[in-house]
Amino acid sequence: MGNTKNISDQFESLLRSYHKSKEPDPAYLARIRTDLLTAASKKETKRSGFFNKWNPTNWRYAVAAALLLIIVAVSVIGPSQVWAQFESWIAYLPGLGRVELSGTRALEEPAIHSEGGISFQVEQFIASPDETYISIHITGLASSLIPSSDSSYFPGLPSTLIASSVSSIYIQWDDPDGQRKGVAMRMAQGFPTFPPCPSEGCPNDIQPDGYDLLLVYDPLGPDVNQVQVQWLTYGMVPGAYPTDTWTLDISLTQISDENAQDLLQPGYSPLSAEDSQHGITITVDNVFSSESWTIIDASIAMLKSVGQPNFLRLSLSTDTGDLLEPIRIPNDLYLNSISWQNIEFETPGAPTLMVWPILWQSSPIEAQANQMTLSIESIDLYHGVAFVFDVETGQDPEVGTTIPLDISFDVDGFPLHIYEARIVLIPEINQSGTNNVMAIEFALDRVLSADGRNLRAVWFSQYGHTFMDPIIDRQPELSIGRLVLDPDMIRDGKIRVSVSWVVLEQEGPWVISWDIPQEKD
Amino acid sequence: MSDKPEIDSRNDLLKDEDTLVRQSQENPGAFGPLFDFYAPLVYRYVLHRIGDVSDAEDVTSRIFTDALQSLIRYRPKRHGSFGGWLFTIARRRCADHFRVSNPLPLYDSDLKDNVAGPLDRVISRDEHGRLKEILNSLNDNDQELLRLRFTAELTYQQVGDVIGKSEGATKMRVGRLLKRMKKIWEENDGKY
Repeated sequence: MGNTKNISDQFESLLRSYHKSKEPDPAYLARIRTDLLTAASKKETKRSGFFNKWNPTNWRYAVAAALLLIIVAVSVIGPSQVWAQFESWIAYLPGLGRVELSGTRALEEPAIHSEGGISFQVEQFIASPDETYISIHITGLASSLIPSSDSSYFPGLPSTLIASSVSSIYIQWDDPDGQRKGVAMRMAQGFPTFPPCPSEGCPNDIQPDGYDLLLVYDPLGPDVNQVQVQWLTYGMVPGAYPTDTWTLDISLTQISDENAQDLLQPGYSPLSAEDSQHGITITVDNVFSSESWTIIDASIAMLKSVGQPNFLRLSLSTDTGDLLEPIRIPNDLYLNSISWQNIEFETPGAPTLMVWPILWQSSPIEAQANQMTLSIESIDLYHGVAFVFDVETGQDPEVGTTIPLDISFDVDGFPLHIYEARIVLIPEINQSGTNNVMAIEFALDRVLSADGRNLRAVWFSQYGHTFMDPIIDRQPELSIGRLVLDPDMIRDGKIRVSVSWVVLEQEGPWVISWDIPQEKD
Repeated sequence: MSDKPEIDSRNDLLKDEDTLVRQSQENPGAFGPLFDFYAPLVYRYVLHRIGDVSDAEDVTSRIFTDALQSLIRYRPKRHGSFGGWLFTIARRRCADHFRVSNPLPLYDSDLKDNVAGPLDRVISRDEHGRLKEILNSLNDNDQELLRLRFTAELTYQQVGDVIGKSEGATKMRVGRLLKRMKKIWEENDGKY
């Protein structure tokens, strides 16, 4: 127990030391302090008379300004129009106005702005008392910027692309006090949309036809009337360098609670949609669909000792045909929530059950589809390993040297055997170009499968340096893992190497089928 | 060991933070004490994210220019703590920076200055290497949480204001995150 506490303290102090960053140069701080405060005082001295004392936080001046505004408005605009405006202001006061603050409002009709071949459409805008939810669809982005099908290995890429194209999306409104207000929306989801697959099946190289953005925010003012997008990337919009701003007027209308629920929760939860194999249970929790995409919100539960899951070989289909191979999308909709759950058994010391949430996106389903099936051929399981061994390289190793090894260990019962290390030259790319550097690589036995599991990769490391890319091929003689060999690493003619991660592919399949609820008439 | 960074005593200096903010809103020339307290924290956070001293200085300057210009619109009830509000600007500025440049690898701090001899250095590199792997396995949000807590040394309340969560929820989330990381660490006996 004492040892555990020791490790815990050691870990925390290590974490703190790791996050220590260098202190700023005092001269730099003094300089920007002076610049800032000088600029601030200059700004102050520019004010004069009434405005010298003006401060919006001082209520006396706010009242004076409001009275002045009313007098000017009444005299210029006319009493009847001013009264009409006043009526619209008090409309938002609970008990007095026509609109209850507790109500939910939604877009009367989609708003669209098209320019330079790019179309930006606000498809839905829901302002509820709890949150603001906006759905935006963008088409016509440069095809060179759209990720290839390899993006399934880089699930963050669609979001990254949008983030690098769109500087900000602002929501703006006029408060009842006449003040123009706006907030920058938090980007929650950005993912590609695909055209429906042709009847003969989805081609592998199918390209997205646009992007959907889902944005969420805190409740906003009662009179949201504009959505503004700032483009960032040169080339996205012709002539839009460095930025271009499009402003779309929108109009919201009160909707019933029932309709609001439908709009806020467009998905459904299938019943008993789960499958268990090899102690791993996959459950489809929710399914969301639109005219341009289908999203599967699933979770995988398994013992912690089994590793961390990663899905690479899966398919989605309906009774009317196959859908596009699902790609994993980041779970950013729950931007500030924990993206995993750790459920511990009640018995102390018992194994820990991990539940991993996951989102997949695929192409839209056909309206006549009645049943959907998610099929997962296999799962890659990442095992954190802390296995250490020494390699006698000699103090001055030469390229071409082969060092026999007999290193055996197992990962969750899967046996591994390293029989050889080799000193090789490999190209290393750095800022100044490509250099050939000395490295050490390892060879494993050809027996790479056992009990429905296959070895896919091994990550080695040494003193914190992760080895270069693991080779995930199943070659007859497998060389896995390389590390640039720095003479500093050799002590007494040896280097100490550790196995950090082992990736095992667990064969399934997991097949989950469920009924698709039909639209109400 | 307490899981609070060693900032409680320094927080005493900011008991009058609200007053200082109000004074600065009325007279931006009074911003000095707030700058003195937060500038090193913001700089360290920015440097940790960006990794380049020159860029970090540039971005930090912009953050404080933005903050001073926007200070008049800051409202504690709407924006939460001043520190949280300031770091919201800092995060945005760092994100802007990354849009026009490639970020350096995270958690690649230079540790040579912090250890005594060659053996310590090797041990430290060893431990930090393992920690780096654990940190790299975290998602961006969790990495950011640790940065705000340990690099910027924000209070739970301030971190919560930045990430849009309550103080309690933030404390729980940090606690869970540390617990999870410690488990991985302990399973490996804290070493290779």
